[in-house]
Amino acid sequence: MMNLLKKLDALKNDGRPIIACFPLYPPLALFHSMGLAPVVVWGLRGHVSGTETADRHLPSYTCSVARHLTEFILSDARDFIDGIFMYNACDTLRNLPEILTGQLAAAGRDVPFFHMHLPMTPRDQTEASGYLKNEIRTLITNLSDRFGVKFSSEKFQNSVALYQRMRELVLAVQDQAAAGRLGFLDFAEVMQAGAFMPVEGHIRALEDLTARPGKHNAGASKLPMDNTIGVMISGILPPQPSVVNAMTAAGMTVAADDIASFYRSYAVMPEPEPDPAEYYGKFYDDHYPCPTLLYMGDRRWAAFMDRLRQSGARAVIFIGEKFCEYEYFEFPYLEKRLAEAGFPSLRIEISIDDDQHTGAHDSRIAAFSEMLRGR
Amino acid sequence: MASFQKTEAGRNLSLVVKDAYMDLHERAARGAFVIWIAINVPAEIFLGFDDVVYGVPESHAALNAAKGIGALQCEKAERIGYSMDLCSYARIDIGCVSDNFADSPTFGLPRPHLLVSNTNNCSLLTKWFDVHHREMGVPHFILDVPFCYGPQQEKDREYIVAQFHDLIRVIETMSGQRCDMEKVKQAVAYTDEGIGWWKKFLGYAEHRPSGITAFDSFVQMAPFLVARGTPRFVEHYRLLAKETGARAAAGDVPVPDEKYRLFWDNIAPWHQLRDMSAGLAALKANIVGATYTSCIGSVEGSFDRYPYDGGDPLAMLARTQNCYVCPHGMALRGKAMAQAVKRLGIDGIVFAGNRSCKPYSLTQFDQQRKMAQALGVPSVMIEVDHADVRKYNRENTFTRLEALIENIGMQRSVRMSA
Ligand code: SF4
Ligand code: SF4
Repeated sequence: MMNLLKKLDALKNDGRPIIACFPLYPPLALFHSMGLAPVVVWGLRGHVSGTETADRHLPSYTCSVARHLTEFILSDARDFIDGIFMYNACDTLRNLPEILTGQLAAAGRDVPFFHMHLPMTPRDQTEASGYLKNEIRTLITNLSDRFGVKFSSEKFQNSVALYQRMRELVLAVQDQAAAGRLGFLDFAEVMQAGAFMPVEGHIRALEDLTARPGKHNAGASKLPMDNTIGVMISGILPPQPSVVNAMTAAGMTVAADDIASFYRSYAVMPEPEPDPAEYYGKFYDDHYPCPTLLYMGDRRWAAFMDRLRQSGARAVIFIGEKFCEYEYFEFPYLEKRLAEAGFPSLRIEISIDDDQHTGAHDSRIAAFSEMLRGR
Repeated sequence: MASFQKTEAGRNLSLVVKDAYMDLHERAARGAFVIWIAINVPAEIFLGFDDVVYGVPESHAALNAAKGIGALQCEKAERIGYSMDLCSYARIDIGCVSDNFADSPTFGLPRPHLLVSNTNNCSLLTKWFDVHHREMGVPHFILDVPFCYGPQQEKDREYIVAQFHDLIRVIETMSGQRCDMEKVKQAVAYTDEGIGWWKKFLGYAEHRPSGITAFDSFVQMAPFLVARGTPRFVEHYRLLAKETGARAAAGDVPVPDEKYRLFWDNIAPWHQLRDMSAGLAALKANIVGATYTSCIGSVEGSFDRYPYDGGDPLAMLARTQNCYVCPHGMALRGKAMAQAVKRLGIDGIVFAGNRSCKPYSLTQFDQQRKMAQALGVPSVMIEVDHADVRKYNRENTFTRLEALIENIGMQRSVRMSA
């Protein structure tokens, strides 16, 4: 937690109002271009110790993502946050804003809440581009009114270009990790840190990582690559270090990820263009299919399979975030299709309790690896 | 126990439901265009077509749960990989479909030509219907209803209406039938009239002792799911309201020695209706109202009837899309609940946390505190999965309910001695 607070403090010292965003695909470049500092409050496992505050507000059957996010915003971070942004995602998240803003108000903090509705209708079913454009324009107006900031097309395109650069680096680093030249955990660490730093800083961190691969090896293959088994991991969040270490110990390497906060976030990004309403129309329409983007259900399997085949992975490990309906409704279908296509899969369920009980999945991972070797 | 079985309206209810399922199966067998819908997809639209019928998987799941076979159906879904943490309605439905409705009390639902889900009550419905879409190869139309934290906005209403037009176009293309908007208008008018009687029926909860229990109202919701937009819908609720009124006037009420008037927040505990109703009556307590049944036919933030002005039926249907508890935020929910608590003279609120239904349950801790602060009404949090009896513990539940009643009693004594 201290680590993230320090990062927020550093951002605050830059003088930019901090906008806490969730879920994973907010219009970051837009915020950046308007002189705001967006932080994506996601995947805070490992950074937030305990969920005592969150548990006073959320029932025990809430996923860890939402509980950590709530804990974070309502704890010491609350003094740093100037606004909260959310677009419609799952049934859990849509109920959080009033809890968060209510508690912040009770603590004497008037934190505005910005909301955008992302149309969830399949694009070939309902023409909703006008609706989304209006949402983006309204968001710009609301941000301007609240923070006295101005929108500039030029700055917006510059910001998009920066996020493009970051995306290229993320993909390059991912490739290095897949090739075993870099530890997956190092990659994961830089990605998580990136959520709490300006895009310029994230770019520098990624450049640094690509320039010095030899230095990093946590989670990297200890075996010659031809002895390891490449697997694709899929889920909302990356696996905990204990899971990655268990994979490494069992002779497996992450050949590709289909993780919401990693590849799904960066796989596709449109070219810069002056009108943010147009840009975000493309951004969301062409996004890599994620179970949280309900309008993309029909594209999910093909995209998933492309990623798997291109990576050369031999199997899939699903990292199930307990209580995440979006993911869990899809697992049986994906598992069945994978089996038909000759790809074994393993489903691991990560619950908030696993924060304390690391290593609970070791034996299943080892058995899975053995099974793959025996094929 | 809820008195519906012994009443005319109780008998009529069974007939309405039985006939609706028979009609669905018979017309489907004769070639009608079959749609499976999420519970709040406005079925009035389908009545604009000559030969379109609809089935409601959630309603069918509730029926399974009420008949005591919810857990059996859930297990079938769990055996094919669906997590026990998923909504029990969804598990029941997926379980039912997995063996072609082998144990269904209604011979299941006929195979659909089209699936129509929506995002208003919950967005997981879309994922659930996607399961069928993928397995059956049936097209899936997603109605996207923006969640609202304040009153529904014009831009959202227009967006919803546009989707209704798209839905009509899709059905016309797929079925080869035309939609007659005059018929849709008539259907909306019937629903509106029936809801008028429904609200009158719920209003008998204002009597002391209450003329109804919330358990009656849970069961009596069924026509809303299988027959809305029809003359029969109106007739049924007229019968229900008039009969309930006459009984109340004659002193024939469900809990004659009612001492504690409670309010329920969440979906009906389908597998516990009899037991919970009887258990509470033995404690001289009656759950007289519920958010679940009161929200029908209103708009977000109020339980009052939102009347149809006879204008554009699609605009009316869009305007009421956020009325159910789940598609709007905590402040609006609290506003409507506070009004009901005052109007019904509620002594205590039962917040029923429901593991299956996060959209209903997630804000309940905060809502409980808000109600205590705003109204000073005691409340209790219990845990009841609405359709999966395996996630229900009777002993714990009644211990808490008894504690609530004790608490109310204590507050009363303090007030009296003050
Ligand atoms: S993990 Fe799933 S349930 Fe949790 S916030 Fe994300 S999408 Fe929602
Ligand atoms: S999660 Fe709740 S609203 Fe959604 S289908 Fe289940 S019971 Fe209904």
